[in-house]
Amino acid sequence: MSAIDSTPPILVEGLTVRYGERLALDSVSLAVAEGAVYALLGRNGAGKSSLVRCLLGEQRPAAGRVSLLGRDVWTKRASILTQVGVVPEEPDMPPAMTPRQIARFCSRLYPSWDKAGVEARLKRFGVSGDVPFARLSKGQKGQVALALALASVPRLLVLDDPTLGLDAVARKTVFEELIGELADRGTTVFIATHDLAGAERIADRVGVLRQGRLVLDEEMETLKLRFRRLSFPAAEREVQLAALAPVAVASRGWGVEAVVARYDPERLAATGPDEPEVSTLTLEEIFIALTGEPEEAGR
Amino acid sequence: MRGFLAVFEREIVERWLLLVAALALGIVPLAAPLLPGMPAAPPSVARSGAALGLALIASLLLALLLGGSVIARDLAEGRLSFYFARPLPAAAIWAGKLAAATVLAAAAGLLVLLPASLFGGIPDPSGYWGSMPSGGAALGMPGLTALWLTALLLVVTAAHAGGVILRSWSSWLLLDLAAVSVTVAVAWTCLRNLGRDGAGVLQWERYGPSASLRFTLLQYVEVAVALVALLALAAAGAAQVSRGRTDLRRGHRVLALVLWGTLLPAALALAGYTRWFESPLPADLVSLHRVVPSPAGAWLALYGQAAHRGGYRPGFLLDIGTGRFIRADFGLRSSMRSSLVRFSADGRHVVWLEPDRSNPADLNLVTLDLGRRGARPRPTQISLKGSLSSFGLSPDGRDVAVVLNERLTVMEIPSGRLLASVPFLSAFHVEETLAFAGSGRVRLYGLDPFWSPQVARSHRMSFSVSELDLATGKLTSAQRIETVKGNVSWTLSPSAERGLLHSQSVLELRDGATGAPIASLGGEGARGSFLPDGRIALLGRDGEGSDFRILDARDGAEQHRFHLSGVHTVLVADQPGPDEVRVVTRGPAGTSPWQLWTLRLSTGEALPGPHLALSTLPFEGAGAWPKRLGRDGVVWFDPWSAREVVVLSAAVPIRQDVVK
Repeated sequence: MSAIDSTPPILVEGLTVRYGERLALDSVSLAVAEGAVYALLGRNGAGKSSLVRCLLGEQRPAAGRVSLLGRDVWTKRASILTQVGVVPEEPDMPPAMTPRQIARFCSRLYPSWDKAGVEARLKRFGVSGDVPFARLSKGQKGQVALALALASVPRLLVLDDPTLGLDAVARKTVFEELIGELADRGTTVFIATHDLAGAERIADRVGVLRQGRLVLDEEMETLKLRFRRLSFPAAEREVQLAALAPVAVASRGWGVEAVVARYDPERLAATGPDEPEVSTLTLEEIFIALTGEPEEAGR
Repeated sequence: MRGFLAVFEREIVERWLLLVAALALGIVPLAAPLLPGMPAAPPSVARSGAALGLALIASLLLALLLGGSVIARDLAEGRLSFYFARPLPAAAIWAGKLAAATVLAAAAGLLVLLPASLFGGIPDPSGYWGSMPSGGAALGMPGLTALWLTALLLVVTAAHAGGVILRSWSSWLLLDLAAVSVTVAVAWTCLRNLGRDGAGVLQWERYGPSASLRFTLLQYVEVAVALVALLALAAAGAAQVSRGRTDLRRGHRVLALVLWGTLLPAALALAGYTRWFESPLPADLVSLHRVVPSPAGAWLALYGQAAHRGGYRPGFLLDIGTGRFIRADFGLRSSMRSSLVRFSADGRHVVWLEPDRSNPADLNLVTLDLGRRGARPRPTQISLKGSLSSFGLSPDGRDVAVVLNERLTVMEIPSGRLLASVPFLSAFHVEETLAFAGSGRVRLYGLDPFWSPQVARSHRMSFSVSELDLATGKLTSAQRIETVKGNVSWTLSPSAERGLLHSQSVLELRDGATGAPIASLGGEGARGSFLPDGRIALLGRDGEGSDFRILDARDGAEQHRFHLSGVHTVLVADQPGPDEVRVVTRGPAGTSPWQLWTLRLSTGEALPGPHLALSTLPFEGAGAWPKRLGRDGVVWFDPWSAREVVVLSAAVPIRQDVVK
């Protein structure tokens, strides 16, 4: 096995992006293994799109580097992208061109092109191939972008909030298509998204950006194992709660609700006589716990 | 290449309707013959002229619009990421889009021309339209096409840069404004100065049967400036797309750094070239157009063609005694036979006319005190606007007379005060001499020889004398029609009371006031000149040597005669005092050395002096003659008067040996 083969398909090291005085990304480092699905989460303005632009070699970082498929993306962008499918946040196809014309244009740029796949997906999505791109709905534009991204039979798929502004049905279609792609080919996927439920369905690993810093980068499985919601029926449990280092605490009418990032039953038992009610969290709940408060969440 | 072609084709296909619109626009010129004001032109000319004008406007406008939008608009609207998310090199995106814009603009121009060409043809490129852009040199169809495409590329790349700069609207815009102001100002000033200096004139050596195929140095410089601008704009645009990618502001920064990092040094280089162009040394002269010696002293004014400077005719005031020289621009508007530089009678003052820096059509009078070491040329208040035909300086160097815009005008140099100005409807004179006579009079002599078919190998000549009395402002004129043979020239005495009329057949002494003949001084081959004291030096040759005679200017009576044995050539050098005339001689062989003689008029003695290190200045092809300039002086052959002029250095000694 060569050195290049052992390098993860996505490797981000110390990535820093500035817009004038504003720091959009602050020394972000992450890696995505071959065949993995990485979901990058973050609130609006957290720096997700800046990271995706750097990932695609569209933007040069102030510091750090990004390598895709073992090569520096800033210097080797064009050759790397022959193996990368991209779905942008805002579908940016030429407005006068029809999906078929766009597909024809793209087919000349990639070494392999699944023309039949494009047609099949468009049909599946219910999108006409002969309507100018500008006249498609937002959901249809996203579906066209996904169909084109998958048609190049990519080794790596980068999606920048592909379901933004889509209705529930369209969102479902996108994720089902992705799941199908993953099942068929084992493509490595990097998805920056607000759609936490969708991400939870497909992601192996999750990263959370908060104000330009990567505050969480973890396997989905371990993440969900260590986060728990604790419900104390009694209101006065400050001493017991403090010992558990909760990332979020909320007073309810019936008592106190806390989210802990490092759930440990033995440690919980040792903190006091009361046994709280323990429940698991969804990715959305974990995300809110991590990013909903101004103070930094512990990893 | 695959990426470039894909982008190029996509751009063309997306905008194909523009070509249809251009074809439709091409129908408009067919109605040109019906427009008011066009009936004088034949319908086909009106159609083709209108079509050509419309095609140029349409293609340039389209180049401007497409160049400014194909990338910059996509960038501003966030659509350029479509290309950058594909395996397309940045160079392919940039080149594909701008090449498509250029091709669309060019094709639109051709399509506008198409209907008119089907109804009467398009303008002949070798005719007026074709030769216009090259300033007289016909380009032909390939040249015109190249010029047109270059212009379109220039507009497209400039519009692209402008589009990015304006859409970015960042603080770098201030740098752009400052840099473009400096670059344009420097380039405009340099090109204007080069044009003023004569870089836009075809070199003398290049006139000839093939002159119409040549280009002037200024045209080469202009093409170089355009190509540098094109390269800088292209490099900046490519760098903006390549380094800035989808980041508009970053792209603007990169574009500005590359563009101004190229154009500002290029402007500096152009300024340096212009400075070099305007700073030739006497040693750079490759041909002399004229040498004007000072009546006294060792100064001479000369101008000619300088090496590698196109039609530039730099002028120099040269002190051959010391080698000191002052560069002056009197050669710029001087012709081959009429200079715009004048010395005062004592040789202490020199004045000349040079084109104004900001308005080269105007001529400014400049003075210089040659008697004061370290003096610099000093501009005066006198500026001449219009058509100048004659220029004269009073013997004391205080007043100047000009024939300008059909008026004879006299002005005082120190104050610029107008002394007199009268209408003077002179015809164009082949040779014209404007001179100050004594007692406040200014005379204009006009010589107009013309060939007469009735008298074989002879000429009829109009010789006119006009005199302005400065005290009364009255102008009187007299004209004589005479028959002469060969070329004619007119030499005035220092006081302007007498003149010598040289022709191939006769040398005549004439009255300076009327032009009437006083005495015939010799036949064919006779040569004479006035000495500084007003007497006439007459040169002749016999089998044994040469005769040198001094004549009374009043009536031509002989006063002194010197016979110089074995001498083939005698040239008057100067007159150190009333009793002495210095001449230089040479034997029959052209290679024999020059020798100085002092002629004592009172005793009739001829005192041989040393052999002199004189350099002969040929009219053309002199090479680096000033390097060979003798320490004793120069001899120059004036092709217009067919006379040789010798100027001696003040350091030439007078020998005491006396020989018979």
